[in-house]
Amino acid sequence: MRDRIVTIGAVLMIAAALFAEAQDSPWGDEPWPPVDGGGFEDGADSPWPGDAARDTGSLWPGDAAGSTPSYADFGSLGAFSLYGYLATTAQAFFGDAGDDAVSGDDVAAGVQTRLRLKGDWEPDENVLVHLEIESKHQRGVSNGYALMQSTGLDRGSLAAVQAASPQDDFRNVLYVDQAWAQLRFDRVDYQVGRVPIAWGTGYAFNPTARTNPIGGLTEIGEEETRGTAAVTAAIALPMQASIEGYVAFEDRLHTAVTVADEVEYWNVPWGARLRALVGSFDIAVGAVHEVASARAGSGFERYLHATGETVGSIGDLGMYAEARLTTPQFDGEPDDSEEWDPGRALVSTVGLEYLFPGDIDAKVEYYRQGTGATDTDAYDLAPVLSGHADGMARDYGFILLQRTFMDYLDVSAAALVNLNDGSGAALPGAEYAVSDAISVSATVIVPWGSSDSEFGGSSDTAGVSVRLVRPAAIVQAKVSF
Amino acid sequence: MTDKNNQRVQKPIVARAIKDGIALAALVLLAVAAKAQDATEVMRRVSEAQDADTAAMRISMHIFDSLETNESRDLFIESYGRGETESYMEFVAPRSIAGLRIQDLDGEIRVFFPSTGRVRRIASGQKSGSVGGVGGDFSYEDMGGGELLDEYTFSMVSEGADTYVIRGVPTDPDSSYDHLVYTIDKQRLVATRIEYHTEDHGHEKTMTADTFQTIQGRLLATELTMMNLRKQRRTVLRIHQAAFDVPMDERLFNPNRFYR
Repeated sequence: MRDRIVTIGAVLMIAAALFAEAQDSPWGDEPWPPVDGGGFEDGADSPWPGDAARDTGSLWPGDAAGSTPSYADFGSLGAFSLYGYLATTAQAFFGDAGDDAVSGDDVAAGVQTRLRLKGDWEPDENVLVHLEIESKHQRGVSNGYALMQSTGLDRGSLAAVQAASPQDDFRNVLYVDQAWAQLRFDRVDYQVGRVPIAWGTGYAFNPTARTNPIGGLTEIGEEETRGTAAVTAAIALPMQASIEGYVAFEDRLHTAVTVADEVEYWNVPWGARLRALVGSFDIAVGAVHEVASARAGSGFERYLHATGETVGSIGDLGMYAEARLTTPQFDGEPDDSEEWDPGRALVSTVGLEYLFPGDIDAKVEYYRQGTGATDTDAYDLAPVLSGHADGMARDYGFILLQRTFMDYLDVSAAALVNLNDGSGAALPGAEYAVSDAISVSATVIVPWGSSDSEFGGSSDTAGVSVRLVRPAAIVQAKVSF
Repeated sequence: MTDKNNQRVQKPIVARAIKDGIALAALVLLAVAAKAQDATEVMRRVSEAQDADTAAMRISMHIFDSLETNESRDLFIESYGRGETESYMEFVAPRSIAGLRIQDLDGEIRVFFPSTGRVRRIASGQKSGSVGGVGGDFSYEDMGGGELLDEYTFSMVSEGADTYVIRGVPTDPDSSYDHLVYTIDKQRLVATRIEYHTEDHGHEKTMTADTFQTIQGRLLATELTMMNLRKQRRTVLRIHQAAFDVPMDERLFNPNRFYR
């Protein structure tokens, strides 16, 4: 039923877009952007419609020479725009999957087709409505259910679940990822709905972003920020400072099942921060109340963090830092029984950026996860699989080198390294822009490390041996419209 | 060997030569200073002719991957400027980058990526990179604002019947360029050509202004071509619409609000 409502909504959006396009543009007869799109001969007559108006001294067709438009004449008031992309991604995992019972030990393949529709509507100068709908078709290792079954992590339960629910589609997903309205006033901005809350200055890791599930290895620095049901507000202060905050209505893992405890006010996630400019640095300090579904049983885990972040540059060197410090865990009241260890409570990331000669963009980042282990014997995979931890270790390094060739070809080489056990994964990749709307990309994941390391070996959880990172190849074709 | 009388004669000659030399050097310095002042005066008049408290423009950028081809990638941008050091631009098309926003506040560049909702800072070393990372031969530094007389030290190279040729040396040690060479139309007081020289590659780029239009009393170059001699390609920038001294929304120039 929910899928049917979303489908009807998408059809109505498309119809509205077509209707809006048929109306007069607030800019008059000149289409924006110009219809011809591109490609013209130097020295030839200009391809822009309405150029006859140039003779009158005005660039606006139909306007009297010397007329002065106001700022309100720019923008897209009243217009509805629909855009997005269609991406097909094929991926293959190679080699030992970890457990003897796992299928696809040589090659495990999967494919995903993703259609993301985005819509903007600005009915008023102070109101913006935005919608993002995503439709995914997933097979093989690209399908989480199939992956769980192939690794044995489901303990055989998924087959029974699917058999008991033949009406549910475990391959296709259609959902509204973002749907929000932005209200802009003189000094206050609000967003209401399913809002992307993208806090943090880190590139690969964001310790202060506590409203979304943690992404996988291939999502570092990429993809959209998932929407979170929330209300956000930002109040502009003097000296270009601001106070920002949010109150969310779903836990960080975006749990789909309902829980009786979610009606309790202490299970409401929120965040608040003060942002300011200090010299050439942007600085923010704040607090975040994180709520995540419990790792075991039902209910929620709650954390209160003090947060801080900064970004700026000294000369040609860009730098950023982000951290959260977790207060003792409490269930509505401060808990003094547990001895607080600031070392374990601190999660931080610091990074540097620099553009080397030859236009090579370099980023280096160090991530410290206080609750992580420094000894492989203490590794715990369960929090990683459940989305409660970024990794099993405490210290990680990330490096990225990127260069663009001929404006069409982006080549990158990234590596994530577990600094405690020396294992890591290299992610070389390339993206080629076939045209303005079409791009193809390829990424390879090459892990290394000893047999007991995080990236090179297998880890046991729930009686199953799982290899967290396998060599993989991922190719994608993307059409933007 | 000189006799006593010759020595007495030689001292005045030497002294006179020194005096003449000093006077000549002073004249040369004065002439150079006068030329520098002339060049500065010319650029001051060029800058004043373009002065506006605010400016709003719709721009298209056409990127050709070689000097000969006529096939281009096309970008469409809305640009707003306030004063000499504050600017904001938003990419309107193509769809793959629509919504990308770039704010420059006195050299502090922030880029908003609509797909992730994140704002990233651009370090000054990345100012030589293409605007928004979308390619093209116009860098952040090329498109950034700023008061000409503050950003460069000018000297006159030559003066012809119709043009001045003026050399500008950046005052910012972080600038990507060693010096620029301006060709100024005497009558219209506009730059019709700018050469960009770097220490490593010499004459690296040339920008020419190909079409002019009078907008609100200002003579505006509405078509600019940047020829990248090192990479053997070019980018054409066209101004579709422009307005000056129009009211600006304060949020465009607020680092915490420009992306909302």
